[in-house]
Amino acid sequence: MGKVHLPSQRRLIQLYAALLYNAHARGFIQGEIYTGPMKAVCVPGLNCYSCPGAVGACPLGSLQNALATSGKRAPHYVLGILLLFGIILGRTICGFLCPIGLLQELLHKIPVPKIKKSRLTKALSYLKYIILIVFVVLIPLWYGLKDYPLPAFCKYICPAGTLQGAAALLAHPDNAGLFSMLGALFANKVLILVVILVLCMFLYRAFCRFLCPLGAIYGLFARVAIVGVRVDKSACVHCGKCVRNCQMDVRYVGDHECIQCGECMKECPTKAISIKAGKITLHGNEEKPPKKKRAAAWVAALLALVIVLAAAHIPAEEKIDVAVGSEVGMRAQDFTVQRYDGGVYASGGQLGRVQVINFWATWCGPCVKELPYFDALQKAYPDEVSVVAIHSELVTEDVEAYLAGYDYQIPFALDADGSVIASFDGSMMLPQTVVLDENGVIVYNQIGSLTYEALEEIVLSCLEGEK
Amino acid sequence: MLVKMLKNCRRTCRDAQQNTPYREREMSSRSRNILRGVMIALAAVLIGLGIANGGLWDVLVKAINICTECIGLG
Repeated sequence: MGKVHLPSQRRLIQLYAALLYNAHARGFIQGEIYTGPMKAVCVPGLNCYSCPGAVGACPLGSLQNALATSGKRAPHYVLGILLLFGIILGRTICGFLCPIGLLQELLHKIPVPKIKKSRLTKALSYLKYIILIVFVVLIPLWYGLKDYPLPAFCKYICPAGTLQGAAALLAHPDNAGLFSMLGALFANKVLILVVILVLCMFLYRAFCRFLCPLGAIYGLFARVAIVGVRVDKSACVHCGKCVRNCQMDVRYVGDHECIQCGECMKECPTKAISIKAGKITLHGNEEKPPKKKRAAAWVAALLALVIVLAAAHIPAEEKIDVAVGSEVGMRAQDFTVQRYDGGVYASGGQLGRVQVINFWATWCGPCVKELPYFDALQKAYPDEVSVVAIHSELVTEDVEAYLAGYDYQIPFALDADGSVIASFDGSMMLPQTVVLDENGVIVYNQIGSLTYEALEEIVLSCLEGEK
Repeated sequence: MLVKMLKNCRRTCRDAQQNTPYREREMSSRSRNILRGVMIALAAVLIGLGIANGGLWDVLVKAINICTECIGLG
C-alpha cells in the first residue's frame, strides 16, 4: 500500500493564511468584495484586495497608492506596516504566509521536467528589485506628481489581481456586465498570468524569485528579522548541503533570497539549522512539543479564523433599496447634490437636455484621466448637454483644493451619503457614467472609462434620437 | 603567474563560500537587538502618524473599491 503523504506543518500554515486572508466567503457567492473596516489593515502576504474573499488590504497595492498620493499625504501608515512586518517576520512571510507562494509551490508539484537553479536564475533574481524601484516606487511617484494615481505594478504586472480579482469577479454571473470592459490591458495581464503559472511548473517559485517586489522588500530585512532560519555555527560542518539543495537562489542560509521555509533543516546532517524567533526556537530538530501545547496552538489559530470569518460576514446596513429605474430604458430617480462651487445640482431641473452624470473620485486614476473628456463635451455642446461630475462619498483629500488646480467648466458635486450612485445601481467601482435623455430616461449606465469619441457618440445618438 | 595565483585564490574563496552556509561576518547580537528595537519603535511611530494623518483611511478607501485598472478591466 502506498505511503500516505500528509501535508507538512508549513503547508497547513500556508493554507490557513490563505483562508484567513480570504475569509469573506460570502463574497464568492455574491460576487461582491468585502467593504468592512478590516480592510484598513494590510495582510502580510500578496493578496489582491479586489478578490471577493479578501478581508484585508494588499500591502503592495497600498504602498503604490500611498506613494501616488504622497504629494498630499506622507505614506507613514503603509511604510510603518511594511517595516513592522519586515522586522518581525522578514521573508518568513514568503515561506509561510503568502497565498501566491502557496499556489506556486502546488503548481511546481505537477510532474514535468524541472529547471534547476543556475547563475542565470541567480542573475534574474535581481530583476524583482528593478521592478520594485520602477513599477512600485518611481512610476506611482511620478504620476502622483501629476495628480494621476497609477499603481503601475498592479496595473501592468501583478498576477494576483488578475487571478484573485478579475477571474473571481468575472466567474460570478451577476458580474457579466464586466465582460464589456475587457480589452488589451486584460489580455496582457492574462498573458502574464498564464506565463507565470506555466513557468512555476518548471521553475520553483518563479514569480517569487524573479518578479515579486514584496519579496524584494522583505528580503531587505534578512539580516535583522526576528523570525527566521538560523544556523548553529558550532554544529555546522560546512558540507554545503543546505545551500546546494535549496531551490531558491540563496548564497547562504537566511540571506535575502531565502524564504525561511526551513526545508534545508531536513538536509543538514548535523541538525544545525532551526527556525528561531530571536533566541526562542520555533522549529528545530528537537522532539515535537507536547500534544497539549500543539492542540492549544491549533485551537487558538482556529478561534482566530472563526472570529475573522464572523467579522467578515456581519450584515452591512442597507443604505437604499434595490435601485428603482437604474437600467437602460427606465426613468432615473430624481436627485439633488451639493455643488462644490455653491448651490445644488438637481437632475429634475435639467429635463429638456441630455444629462451626462460621471461618478468619480480623486483617488481613482481612470476617473481623473477621463475628466477632461467630460469637460470638452460640455464645451462642445453647451446648450444641448448638461454634464455633472459627482465625487464619491469616500473623500480622501480636499476636493475643492484639488479642482482649484484645473480649469474645468463642468460643475462638480459630492454624493455625500452614496445614495445617488446607489440609485444607479453603482457602489464600489469607479468610474461610472450615466447618460439620461431629455426626458430623464437612462440611455447609458456603465462602469469603466470612456474615450471622448465614445462619449460623444452616446450623446449624439441621444440627440439624433430626440430629433 | 600573478593571474594564475589570483584565479586560484578566487576559486578557493568561491569554494569556501559555497560550503559556508551562513554569513561569516554577522553583526553582534547586541547591535542587532538594538537595531530591531529601534525599527520596531519607528514602525509604531509611523503607524501612529499614519493613522493620525489619514493614511489608514486612504488604505481603507482604496481597498473597499474595486480598482478596475488594477484587475485588468480597463
